[in-house]
Amino acid sequence: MARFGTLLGLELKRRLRDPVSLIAWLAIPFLMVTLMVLVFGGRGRSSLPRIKILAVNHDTGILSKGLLAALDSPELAEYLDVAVLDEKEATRRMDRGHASLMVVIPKSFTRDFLDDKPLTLRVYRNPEQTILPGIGEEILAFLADTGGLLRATLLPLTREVIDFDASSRPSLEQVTALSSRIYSILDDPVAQNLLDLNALKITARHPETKKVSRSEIVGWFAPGFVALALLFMCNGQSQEIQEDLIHGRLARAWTFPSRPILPLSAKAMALVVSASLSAGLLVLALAGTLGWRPGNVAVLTIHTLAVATSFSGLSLLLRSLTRNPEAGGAAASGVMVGLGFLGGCFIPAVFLPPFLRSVALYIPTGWAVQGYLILQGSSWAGPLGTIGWRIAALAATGAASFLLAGRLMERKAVSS
Amino acid sequence: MAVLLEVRELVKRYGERIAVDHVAFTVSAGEIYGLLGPNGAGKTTTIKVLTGLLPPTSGSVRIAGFDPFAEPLKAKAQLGWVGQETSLYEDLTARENLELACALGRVPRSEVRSRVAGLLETIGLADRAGERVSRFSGGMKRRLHLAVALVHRPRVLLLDEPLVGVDPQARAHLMGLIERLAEEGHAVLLTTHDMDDAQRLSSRVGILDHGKLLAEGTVDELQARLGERDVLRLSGSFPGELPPLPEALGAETLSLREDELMLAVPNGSTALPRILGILEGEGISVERAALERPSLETLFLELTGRELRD
Repeated sequence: MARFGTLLGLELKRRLRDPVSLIAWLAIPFLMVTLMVLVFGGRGRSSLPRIKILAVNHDTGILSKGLLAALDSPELAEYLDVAVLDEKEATRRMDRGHASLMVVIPKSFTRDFLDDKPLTLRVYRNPEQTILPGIGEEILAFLADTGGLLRATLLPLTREVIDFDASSRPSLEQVTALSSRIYSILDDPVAQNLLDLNALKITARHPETKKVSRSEIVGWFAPGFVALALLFMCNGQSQEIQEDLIHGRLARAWTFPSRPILPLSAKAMALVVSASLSAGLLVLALAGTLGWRPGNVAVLTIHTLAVATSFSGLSLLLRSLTRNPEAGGAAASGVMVGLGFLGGCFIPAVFLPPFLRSVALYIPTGWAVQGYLILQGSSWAGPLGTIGWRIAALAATGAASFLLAGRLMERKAVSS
Repeated sequence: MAVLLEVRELVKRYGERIAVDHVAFTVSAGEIYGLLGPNGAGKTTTIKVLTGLLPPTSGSVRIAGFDPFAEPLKAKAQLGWVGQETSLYEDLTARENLELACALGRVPRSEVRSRVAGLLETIGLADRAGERVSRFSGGMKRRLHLAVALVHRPRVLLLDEPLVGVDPQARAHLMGLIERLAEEGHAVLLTTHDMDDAQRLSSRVGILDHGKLLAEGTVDELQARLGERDVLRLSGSFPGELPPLPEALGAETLSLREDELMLAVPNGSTALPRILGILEGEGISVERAALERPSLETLFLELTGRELRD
């Protein structure tokens, strides 16, 4: 154990004497997270601009007015900027790209509503925009759904009122019965909700449009970039071990009266420790400057060591399969970028399509990022239980890759 | 003297190619054995088998009586290897390199400091102990490289081309060190393709080519195989075939190239003017002529038909 300690200490010294690469791998992810905070806003501002909608109303009925009032309501005004224009002016502005959507309400809109006919709205999208028209359409569709429900609920009542013949001198019982019917329908919670725009859960349907704080944005990106930093630090430092192999330093170590695993494991452990320490510095920097809350320190440390073990093992395995550091670097970078993307290191998993999100469940980078995401702002007992299997899987992957890499390197040392 | 290194009928094949072909020799305590041969002769492969890094196809080796493949730790405890490349950690100091080797060589913790200091003194680097190796000259690195192989006090030393690329001063220092190690009782196996190094250092020499040990013995024994003959080295412009020389001269063609002719003759000083006369008579111009005593190089030439540097 003392001999292992001596070797580990000297290997760590070697790494600390060349801190440039470590600092680079700390600085790059830190800058990336900072950049993401700047790009996505932060400081409590809305993350998306208001969606400009041009409305053309050919209908004079109450329903179209109600729809325009809904779009212009205080609840939606934060997200929508609605201008009611004649069709010519609206088309001119749309052609110049001044809005995201143009909505044309047909003349028979209210009549069709009352006659229980299908309702149509003509919607034109700005082809130069991708996200904002989509969100606007979603809001319109939601309002249309609401209109449909409203009709289904209120139409019988409307018909009863229309069919009520006041000129035929109805009896008191008839008037009382109709009043009672109106009150019972309007007293229904569904109808009340439909008539109350405050009940519209627009923000819940469009989470990306809510106000996002800086710490929330850091929370989206920091786990991925910490994992990414570890990935590239392990890859970069594994090059030194490959160079030790190529320049005969490992072969020479294996001619001493020690088990072959001793020098290689000391090198690998130094790699894990130095990468974990560097990741720790990155976490501190993100917490200190951008307000990231990475979670329980003890579990975070265990998770980071497991991540570094896994990534070191994988990097060494890739290095052991290639002839020289250049080929090793190219192969490892390709694999690492791929694993990083699939695991959600570059783009938070919530933004990935479902297929890629399911891939992330089965790869080490995915386990690493998920672990950091779970750890954010959680307590001691909770996260360890939740991410325990991920820590075990990461450690096991690292150990298996390391053992295989060791065997391959021994063979290479002999043949070179 | 006890035999510390023993190689018996060693064969190493890589597919169809035979790198080492039934090589056998021994090295005793206090002896420097020079394994001489051109690049690709099989010297490094032989050394790799001896270190236990490369298993042989057949045959066996013993390091101080231990088989490096059956009892690797015991064999390696008796073995110090200095490879062709100075495989030092350039970002560590000389002292740290030796401490690292001590950890690998199972040197007791209590002895590390004194052993490292002693070795630094021996190789003349005590005053540069705290300097990073990257700042060392090639000769200093070679000396430190040798010291690293000695930390665990092995009895057998395998030195693979230890003098390649070393300046004359460092070469003299290293040669002195190697001789001293042999005097202290180490068995030293030295591979080289330099005749002078082999002749100067080795008490016995083995000539290896294409994986085969062609000749073995002391330098004097090997030189005697050429008989009491001199070597004539002629420079000029020579045809592909020489004119017949009188049998009475007893001349033997060692090598013939477009620009050089080497002949072995019993009495060089008498034969030289006669041979020059015959060649001139045939219209062959000789620009320079040298009379040499036979060397290991001459023997190598006679054994293989080519020069060591070819």
